[in-house]
Amino acid sequence: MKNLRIILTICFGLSAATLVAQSRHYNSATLGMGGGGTAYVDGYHANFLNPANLMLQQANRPKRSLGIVGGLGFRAGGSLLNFGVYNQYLTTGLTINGQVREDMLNDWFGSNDSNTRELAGTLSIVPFGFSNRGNKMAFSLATRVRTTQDLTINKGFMELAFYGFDSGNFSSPVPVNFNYRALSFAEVSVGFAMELPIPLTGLVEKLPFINGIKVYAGAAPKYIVGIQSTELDFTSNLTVNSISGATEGSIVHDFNYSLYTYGEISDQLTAYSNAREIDPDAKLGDFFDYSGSDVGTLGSGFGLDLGITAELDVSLPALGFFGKRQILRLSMSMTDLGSVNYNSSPSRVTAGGIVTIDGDVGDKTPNEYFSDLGDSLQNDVYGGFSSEALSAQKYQLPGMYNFGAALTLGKLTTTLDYGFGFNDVGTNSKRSALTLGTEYRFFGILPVRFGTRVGGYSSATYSAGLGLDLRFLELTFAASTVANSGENGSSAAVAWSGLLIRF
Amino acid sequence: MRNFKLLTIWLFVGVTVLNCDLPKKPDFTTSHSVEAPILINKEFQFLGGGGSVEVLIDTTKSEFDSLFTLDASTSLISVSVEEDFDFGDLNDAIPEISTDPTSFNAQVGELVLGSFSSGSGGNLGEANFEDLTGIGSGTVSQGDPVPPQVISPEVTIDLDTDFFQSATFKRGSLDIVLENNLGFNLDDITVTLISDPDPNVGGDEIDVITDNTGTILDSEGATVSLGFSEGDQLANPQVRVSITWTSSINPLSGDYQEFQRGPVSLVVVSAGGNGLVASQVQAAVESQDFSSSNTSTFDATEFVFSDPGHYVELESGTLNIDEIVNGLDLTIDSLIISFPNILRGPNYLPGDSLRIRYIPGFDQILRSNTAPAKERDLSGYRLYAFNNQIEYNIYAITENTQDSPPGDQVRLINETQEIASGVQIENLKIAEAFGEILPQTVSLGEDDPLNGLEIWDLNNDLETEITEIDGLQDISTQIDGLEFTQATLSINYESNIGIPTTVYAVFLGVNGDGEEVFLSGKDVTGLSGVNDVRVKDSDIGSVQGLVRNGIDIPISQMIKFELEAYDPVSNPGPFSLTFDSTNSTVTDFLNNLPSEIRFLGKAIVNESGGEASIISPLDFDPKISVDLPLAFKTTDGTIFTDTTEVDALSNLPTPEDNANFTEGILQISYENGLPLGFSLSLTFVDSTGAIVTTLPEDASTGAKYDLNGAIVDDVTRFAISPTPGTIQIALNDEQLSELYRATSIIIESNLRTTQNTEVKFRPTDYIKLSVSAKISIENDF
Repeated sequence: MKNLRIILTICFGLSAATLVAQSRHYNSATLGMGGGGTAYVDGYHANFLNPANLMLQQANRPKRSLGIVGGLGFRAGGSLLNFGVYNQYLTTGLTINGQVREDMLNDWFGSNDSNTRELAGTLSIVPFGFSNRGNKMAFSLATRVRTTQDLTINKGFMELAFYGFDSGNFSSPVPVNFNYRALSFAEVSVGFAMELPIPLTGLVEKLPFINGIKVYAGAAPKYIVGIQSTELDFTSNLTVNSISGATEGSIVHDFNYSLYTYGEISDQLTAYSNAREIDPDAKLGDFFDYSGSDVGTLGSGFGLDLGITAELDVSLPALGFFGKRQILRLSMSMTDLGSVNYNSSPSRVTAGGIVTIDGDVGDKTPNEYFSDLGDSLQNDVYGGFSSEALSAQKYQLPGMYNFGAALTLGKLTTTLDYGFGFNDVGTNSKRSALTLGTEYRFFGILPVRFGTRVGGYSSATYSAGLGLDLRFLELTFAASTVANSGENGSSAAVAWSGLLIRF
Repeated sequence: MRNFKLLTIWLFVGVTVLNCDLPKKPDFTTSHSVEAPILINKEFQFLGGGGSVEVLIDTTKSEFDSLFTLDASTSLISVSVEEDFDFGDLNDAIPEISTDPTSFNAQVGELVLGSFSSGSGGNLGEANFEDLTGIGSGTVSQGDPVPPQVISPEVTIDLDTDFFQSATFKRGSLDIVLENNLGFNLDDITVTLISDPDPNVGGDEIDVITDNTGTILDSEGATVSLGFSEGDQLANPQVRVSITWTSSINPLSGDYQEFQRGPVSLVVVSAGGNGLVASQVQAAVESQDFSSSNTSTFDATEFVFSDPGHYVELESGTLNIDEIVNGLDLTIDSLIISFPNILRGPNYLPGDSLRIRYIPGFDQILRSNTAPAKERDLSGYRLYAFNNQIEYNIYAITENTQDSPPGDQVRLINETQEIASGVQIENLKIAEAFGEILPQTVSLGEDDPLNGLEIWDLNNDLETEITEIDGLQDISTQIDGLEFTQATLSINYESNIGIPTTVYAVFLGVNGDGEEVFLSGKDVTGLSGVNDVRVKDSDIGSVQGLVRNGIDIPISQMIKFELEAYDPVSNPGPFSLTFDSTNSTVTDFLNNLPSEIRFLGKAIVNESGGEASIISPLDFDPKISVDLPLAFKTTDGTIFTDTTEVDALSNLPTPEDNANFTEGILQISYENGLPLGFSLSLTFVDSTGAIVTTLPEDASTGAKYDLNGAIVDDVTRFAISPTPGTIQIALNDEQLSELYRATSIIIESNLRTTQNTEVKFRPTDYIKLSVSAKISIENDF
């Protein structure tokens, strides 16, 4: 059990030690407006969402912005985080047994034992960011650290939690699986944007409600440093044979797992595996002592964010009461194109087998029996893994396609974003997401934001944000959650602008 | 308008927040069922261990390794318990002997006188020719005829007796040797011994004895033996002599004689005692030897030396000789005090007798002086004190004062003068005794004076030997009503006591519930000798003083037994005596399953008297042995009870806890090959003793879980066919919710043999069990 604990510690410990990213970059402003912002974000944040926006000038903001811990956000969610099921079954005093238990698990996971639900989390932090906007071009330098975690469990796993080792439910083999992956890396991004010359400008400006148009394009290549990564994939079938008279009952666990690790952790696990081939009594604790000295040396890669924005000066008489200044921006970007390659001592440890626990304590006292059983499971069964070296592991970045529109009417700004992911890394989802958001700036310095997102990795979310946004300084917050997590799970996110100075 | 816009925004925000899917406080209960097989077809053999077979009682474990024994011939198991038994100290039975101090004195006795003179050249005095014959010495010479005797003058010779001054004689004689140097032959010499009490006073001389020599030729000597009568006194002796001769002037006459030489004198050559014994002397005496004998008498109250071969061998003891007071004016050159009946090993022959010497150079006893006291260690000596008397002899030799320097030679000695001292034999501790040991009564316990001397009370822990029977402690406190059918109680002992010893004993067995049973002999016709252990009315004198709470214990509650007489060759032991159902009430005694045996007793040593041998210390190392063959029968009231502390139950959920058990089922399937059935109930009680719950729930009305015993052979009484069955112990949620309060479980089981008849256990008897538990647990969140 100790070995197993160490393995799990490796996995979940990383989640506490590293930061989590999200698929679409957000800051406190864009999260408050539903998580979009493809056509709204500016400054050095644009490096990660739409580099073309480095050319944007929001209101009377100065040309330069500097962020020290200039953006912090966390988002968690997924189909496993189902507040609907939770509130229905687990907050109303029900005893979770019989039909109630069956209904709850069906509502949560569906009827098939193999169905899975996942919980993902991302955390991103921008330790440093600087941008400078010129008349025709702009550039920026920004760093970001992201960690993404995925936990996927199947229905059988949750049945084990709510049934226990109930022979009635596990009389035939039931899959009990889970998968956990953590990926953490840092980015150093250099952004460049410029205004594109537009042919037929005059023709465009003659269109109704359009007074002028500018088109910006930008790109932000980035160098990626792998901080840490691990992945545990555990699959099994659990059978609990009932006891009848002199018929011996048993718990049969047919399991298989693999764990990918790198660097120091990989070396230590490999050393233990090698030692165990010589000495079956070798203890993992004697080999595992992670110092963290390999952080930042495990891998590297390159990525690219790029985008284009069209900024239109419009006049919409019907919305004139919001203000005279009316700007419409239309943007499109592709973010997180690229991958990170972990190549420092990559290895995979695997273990598998069939464990049969018959519960016959024999000559032992119950305490002795369970103590010995625990030691055996820990050292010989679940902890008795073997290790194999691997070639470098490449992880795709959570790439996305984003389209956004933002309409600014005086102190009111509304945004609309659409996007989908190229993969399902972290909270990234191939499922399309539509985001609506709005901001109203009271007295020009007190922004109140709210928004919603439909689609993506969770159920529809609602978000809100507020804060103080002066010309030279911004200090804002935002949070989001879902209205109904029953369908596609819940999501929750928070963001803080950090210390952002403009000059 | 601005207010409208602001209101619109806040309304939108509010509706949004209210519609958010926010998690509420958790409030649910999980319910899990767990089945746990505890034992699967596990067979437990009744007795064994050290092998692959599971056993109920592992005899290889320390608590059982000496508790069970197996009779290989019958396969019958016995619970065998042997405990040390402090029987009391029988060394009080070793007889004690002692003597009173005795004094002795040895008189020098009759004094023997020998030489009266140191010599003086063989001339103690002489009478000249002229004085004796009246013939001028110059008128005759060799060849001249000896004139016929005309006169016979008496001549007194003052004897030069430097060794003698005076004496009072008892008998014997003084031999005086005369030599004729008168030059002619004499017919006779008349010698009269004269005593001159005071040489300085004239006229006080006394003729003592007169005698004649008879014919004495010239140049020859003659001895005159002057005999003394008792009371004759002699001082400064002189002799008065006169001579007679015959001669003729006619040369042809047969009487004619001539001077054979020139005449000189008549010489007293010597004077010495001949068997001369005096009662008092003032003289220079030769060595005198004298002796004396005495006896020291032993106390005969415990041991009698009625035969010369009887003896006691001493482990320790001392012989003390007091100062010796020498009343003689003579130094004792040698003094020997011998004890002919005190012999030293290893052979104990007469030549090995104890002798104490006073010899010159070491501890010579000077004249008119004292010699220091002496002490001798008697360890290892044997005293052959026939008729309880030890004899000792004193033999002394005095100095010869004639060898003393002149001037210190003459001593005044009386025959009644003596040497005196005392002899004491003390602190005798016997190592071995052979003789007539008189009967003795020995208490086998301390005698607490608080309840009277010579009174031993069974309820007085100081006076009572209390033996804990550890092996039966648990059984006795847990089982009532079990009747063992072949119980025995033995006293196993090693002993070096060669004397017949009878023990009168009170054995009181007290079980764990305080119930008491006495062990006593059975009044069975035909029992005799050592098998008859009953205390009879005639023994009443031997058991006096054995009481309980001050009241004499009835002889019906006593038992007696005899210890075998030890003999190093023919009967060296170890020994054992056994009480069984044929001669005693041991069945009742042991069926009470005593955890404590209280013992009082008295031993009568050599009750019949007579010759016997005894060795000290008396080694008597008894152990009390309880042998309970597992052949027993039950009664309707045979109940096993046990109370087990169950601290672990406090860890069970309480009603306030989030987790609680809703159902617990213990399923027991068995195949019982033991010849014993059980009806079991469990009572859970809290720390105050209040009942928390019972199993079965209606146990208070007599409900129990029944586990039936194996079928038993009618003849051998061993199990021959196992009995299968199942027991389901179910606890409902109400019982389970209260179990946390239980601190103890009282297990009560009725034990049943088939029809309550005798059954016997073999080691291979077994029970096969399958046990599983099913527990439903609810956890509140």
